[in-house]
Amino acid sequence: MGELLRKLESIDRRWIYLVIFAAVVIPFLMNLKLPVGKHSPSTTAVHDYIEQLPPGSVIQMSFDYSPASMPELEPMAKAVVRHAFEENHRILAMTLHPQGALMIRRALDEVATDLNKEYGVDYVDVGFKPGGVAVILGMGRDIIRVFEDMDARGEKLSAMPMMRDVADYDDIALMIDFAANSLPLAWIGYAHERYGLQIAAGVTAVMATDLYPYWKSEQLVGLINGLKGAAEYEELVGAPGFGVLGMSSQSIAHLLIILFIIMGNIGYFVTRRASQNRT
Amino acid sequence: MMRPVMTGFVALLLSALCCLTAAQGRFPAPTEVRMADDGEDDEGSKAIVTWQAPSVAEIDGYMLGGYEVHLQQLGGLYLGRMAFSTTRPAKEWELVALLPDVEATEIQLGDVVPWRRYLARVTAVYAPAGEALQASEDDPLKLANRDVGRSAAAMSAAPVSPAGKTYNRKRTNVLVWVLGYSAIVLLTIYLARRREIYIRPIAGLEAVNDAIGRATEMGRPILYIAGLSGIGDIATIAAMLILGHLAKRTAAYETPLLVPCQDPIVMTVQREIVREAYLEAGKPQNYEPENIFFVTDSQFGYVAAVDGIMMREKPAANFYMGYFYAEALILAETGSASGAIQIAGTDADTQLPFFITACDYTLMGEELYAASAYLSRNPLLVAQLKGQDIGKIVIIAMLLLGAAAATLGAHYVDWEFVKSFVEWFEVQR
Amino acid sequence: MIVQFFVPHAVGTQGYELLLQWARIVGAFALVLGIGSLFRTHWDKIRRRRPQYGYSAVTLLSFGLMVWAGIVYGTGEGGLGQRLTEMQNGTAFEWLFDNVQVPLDATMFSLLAFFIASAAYRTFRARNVEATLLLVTAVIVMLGRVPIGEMIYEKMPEVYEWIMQYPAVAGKRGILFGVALGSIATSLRIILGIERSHLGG
Repeated sequence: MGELLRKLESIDRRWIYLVIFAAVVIPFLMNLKLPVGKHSPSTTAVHDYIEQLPPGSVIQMSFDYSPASMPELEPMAKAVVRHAFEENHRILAMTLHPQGALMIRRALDEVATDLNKEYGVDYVDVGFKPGGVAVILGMGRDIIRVFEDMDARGEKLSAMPMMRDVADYDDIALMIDFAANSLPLAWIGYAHERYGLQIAAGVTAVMATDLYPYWKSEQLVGLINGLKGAAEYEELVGAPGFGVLGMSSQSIAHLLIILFIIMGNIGYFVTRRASQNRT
Repeated sequence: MMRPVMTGFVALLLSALCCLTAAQGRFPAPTEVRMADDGEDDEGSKAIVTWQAPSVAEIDGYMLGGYEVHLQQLGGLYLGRMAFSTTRPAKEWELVALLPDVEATEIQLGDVVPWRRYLARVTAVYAPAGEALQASEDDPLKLANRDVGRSAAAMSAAPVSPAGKTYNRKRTNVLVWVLGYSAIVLLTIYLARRREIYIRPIAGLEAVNDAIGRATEMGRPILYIAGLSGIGDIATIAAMLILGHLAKRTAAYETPLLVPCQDPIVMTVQREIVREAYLEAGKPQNYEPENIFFVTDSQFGYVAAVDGIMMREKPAANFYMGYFYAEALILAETGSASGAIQIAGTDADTQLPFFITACDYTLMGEELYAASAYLSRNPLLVAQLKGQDIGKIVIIAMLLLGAAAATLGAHYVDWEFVKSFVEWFEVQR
Repeated sequence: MIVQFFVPHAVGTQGYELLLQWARIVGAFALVLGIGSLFRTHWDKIRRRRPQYGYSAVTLLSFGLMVWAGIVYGTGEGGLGQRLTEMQNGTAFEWLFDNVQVPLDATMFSLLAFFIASAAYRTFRARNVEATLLLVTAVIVMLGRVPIGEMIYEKMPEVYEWIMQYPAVAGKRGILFGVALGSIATSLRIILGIERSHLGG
């Protein structure tokens, strides 16, 4: 028995990988949807801010992520897009990440088609623009000029009905950055601090600690934190999807990791006691 | 034969011009056109044009439908009223706004160049009664209506030069902090010439020599990763400074140093640093530029490649210095599985826990910046650490004072100086 | 950058933007050096038949394939590629992106889940008071982020929020102060020429 308990301290990592793999995959195959639970105040803050905007407001969304972080960020992006469209707001989609252009199409076009939204009237996709901070600053003066009067499909921006109401940040009611990098900090530092643009962020869970201080200091109106934030938002808009489904896998995986930690500690204490007894 | 034709043509042109003038004269023009610098605009790129509507809104079956605003950039460069260059030529009149709105009497123009002088002119546009003026779908500056009447253009009286502001007074507090702290650092560097400064041992840097020794004994290379940020990031620069010191030692021991890069500019600078280090160590013949190579700028593509190098080449020591993102743990865990001794250093606080769990030694936050000073033991560089410590003490003092003042001001007293003290810490737009 | 922070005038911002544009141009040219390095390294491995040179061949072939798809077929709808191939899911480049790049990137990122599990198992031992505190906090945060945590203890999400908003932010700010002071000092010593090793000195 003692030997068995001691072995708990040094389980081969490949067994851990196998168990985690099963914990992630099985809930997906079973389509297991556990309740999401209480909603975080930071997620609700984004939702409430969009609710209180007058219909027809223009919400800018920057899809600054790549395929790698897509599973965590796309569910929240889709939920926010759905919410904005349902509230009859208009969306200006863009990205500062080279691989973000295809992320926009995946997250935006599907929901827009689903809700019968018209391109150019209800939403515009200006695609990827290299330059990072230079783009953020330039948009504060003239959005159309920054994108050289051309959207991601090669059409003229100035000819689109929606863009007639959008000159600079003064015409944007809220900007939401979906990102797995430090770009939300650039948006806060340049667009919010310099031009007073209201900013919310939807980020991977590992990035969230970076942004909590900015939410506390009201430089962010809200923060959607990882897959849990996505699941909460999906519930808030009444469209449970991949976020809610993913949370079941995450729940079980977290429990298993805790279980492994406990097993490791049992092994550690048994080994320590044995060595103390020997001495 | 040519002469009568020419005369006829000129007569025709003149009569057409007369008709046009008469047509323009028929429609009343707006009055009191004024142009002014937008006082609230700090950038100096906005101007406001105002006017009064014509006295008569309907004439000969035509109704006032809106306005066209033209702008002309005059020659010269002006700071206020003072000209500091007169050589720049003037430009043609340019249509800058079409307002199909009868009520409009003001427009903010957001695309003017600061320090150039401008004149504005406003034309009233009339459409047949019952027809609204409309901008064309293709071009918001073109009218969709075919039959319109225009008044004569009313011009602003004096040229205006948008000035903007050259200094944001609201940020004086930040400037004071930056200058104050820089002065402290410079002062400590100056004082360092006079006496030696103690620097506490940093375990991660003490272990650098052990790592090199281990690699030399095992006859395996050392792997150095300078983060996934660009050359503009101070963490990358700090990582390159450390690479310089490390390369000098590996050159002395003739231990191969592998540096896979994610940014081609960083790669170029790193090659230069390592080449120089080998030269300084007296082993220029051992320098191999191919060991410092570009992999890809894709985050996870890079991670896959570096993980592959770790598992195939089995480096004896892995160094992760600089700014890292989500790849930190993937790199460090693979390195740990390959059995290498691992030293990390980053100011990416979200990745610190991962490095601490998977690496043997981790330099946290500012220790990354201190590393170069620590490794070189250059008194001037070490002195800078003293300056940092003084800066920290000042910040701690200000935090305590600020927290006390904010608590006092919010709950207990109503003193103006307490409020101003708290407000002084706010960074305003 | 520091100038445009204190100078709200368009000249400051535009000057900064101009510098950023230059940086982009330099970066684009530097990419040529990077690609040159990639080619030399792998070509050399193949030519000299170094161990596992097959991987280098795969790298160069994949690189060539992606470049060919990008240049010939482009990324936009109605491009030359679509006219030539009439593929339903857009161009060949998009197809490669969706079916090669996306799964490969996601695979690498998902390794994190496995590595976090094994690293947590190896490291979180209640060796002393500090380590125990770390362990307990980690368990609360993990439980607070998932619905099961709330089932175990109703107030778990609130405890998690409290940890994230106060102790975590406090620690983070402490590190940030050090980082900010360190980066100003490092910049100063580079600007003043006290530190020259990054220039090979």
